[in-house]
Amino acid sequence: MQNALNLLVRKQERIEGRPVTPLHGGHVGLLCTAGMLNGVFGQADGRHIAHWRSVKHIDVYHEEEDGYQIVRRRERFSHELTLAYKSGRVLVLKETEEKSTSDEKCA
Amino acid sequence: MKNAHERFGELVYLRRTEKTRTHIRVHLSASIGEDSKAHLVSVVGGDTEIGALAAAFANNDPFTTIDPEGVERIVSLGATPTCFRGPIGVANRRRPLRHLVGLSQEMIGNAKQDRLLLISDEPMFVWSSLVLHFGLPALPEWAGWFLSELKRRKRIQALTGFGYRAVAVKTRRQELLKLIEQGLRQKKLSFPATNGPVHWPATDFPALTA
Repeated sequence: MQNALNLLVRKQERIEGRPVTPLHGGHVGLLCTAGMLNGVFGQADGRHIAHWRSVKHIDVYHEEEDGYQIVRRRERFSHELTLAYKSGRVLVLKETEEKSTSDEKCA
Repeated sequence: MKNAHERFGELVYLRRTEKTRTHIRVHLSASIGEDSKAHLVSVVGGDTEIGALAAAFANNDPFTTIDPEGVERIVSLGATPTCFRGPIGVANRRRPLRHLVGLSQEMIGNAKQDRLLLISDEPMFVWSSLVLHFGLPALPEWAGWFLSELKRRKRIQALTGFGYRAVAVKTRRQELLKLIEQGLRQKKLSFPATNGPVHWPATDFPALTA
C-alpha cells in the first residue's frame, strides 16, 4: 500500500547482487530496460553514463461511425535510453513517433 | 525543537448551508502552499473532524490555514486531491487521534506542468528528486554545480508554509540535459574513476522537516 511518504520522498533504488548463473543477453536486456543497470560504462572517449526509463504514451485514434466521432485512447509504455558521454555529448534513444497518429506523451 | 503548541498551526473549515452550519477547527502540523492554493496539509483531530475534512478536501472546498505565527490564508487543495489517513495512539486516551495528509495533484507529480514541488530545499534531496523525476544520466557529485546553476537562473522558488522548507523547481528535461552537456564540455562536471553503478545517498526523512 502506498503512503504519503513514498510520494513526497522519491527514493533512488539501490539494486545490488551477483546472479547465481551467468546472464544471457535477454536477461541483460530486461535488466537494462528496467533501469537496473543504470551506471557508468565504456572506455576512453566512449565513457558514458546510461539511464533507462519507461515513458507512457497515449495513442489517440479518431474514428467516425454513423455520423458520430469516436475518440479512442490507448495507453502503452515504451523505453527510453539517455546517454551522457564524458565529452559532453548527450543522446536520447527512443522510439520514433508515427506520423499517422497524434501522440500525447506523458513522463 | 519547540513545544507542540508552538509548532502547530490550525486549520479552520466553515461551511454554511440552508439548514446546517459546519465549523471545524483542528491542529495543523505542516502546510505547504502558494497564493490561494494548498499543496500539502497535515492535520490531527478526532474521527468525525477528520472524516468531514477528507470530504471537504475531495470536494475542493476552501478552508483557512493559520500558521504558528498567526498568519491566515484561505486556500484549497484543487481538484482530486490525494488523502492519506492514519491513527496516532496517545497514552491515557481511549481512542486514537486521526492524522490526515492531503496532497494536491501537483505535489504528487501528476499535473503536467514544467515544475516539480519538493518538500525540502536540501541540495542532495532536490538533485536526487530531479534526476529521478526527469530520468537523467547523472551523478550525486554533480548536485552542487547543478543547484547553483538552477539558482542562478532563478528556477528554484521557495513555497509558503511551515513544517517543511518546500521549494518549486521550474525546469524541463530538455533544459537539464542541456546543462549536463554544458557542464561536461566546460569540465565543470567530472566522471568517477571507475565504471559501475551510481550509488545515491539514502534520504533521511526527519532531516527534511524544518
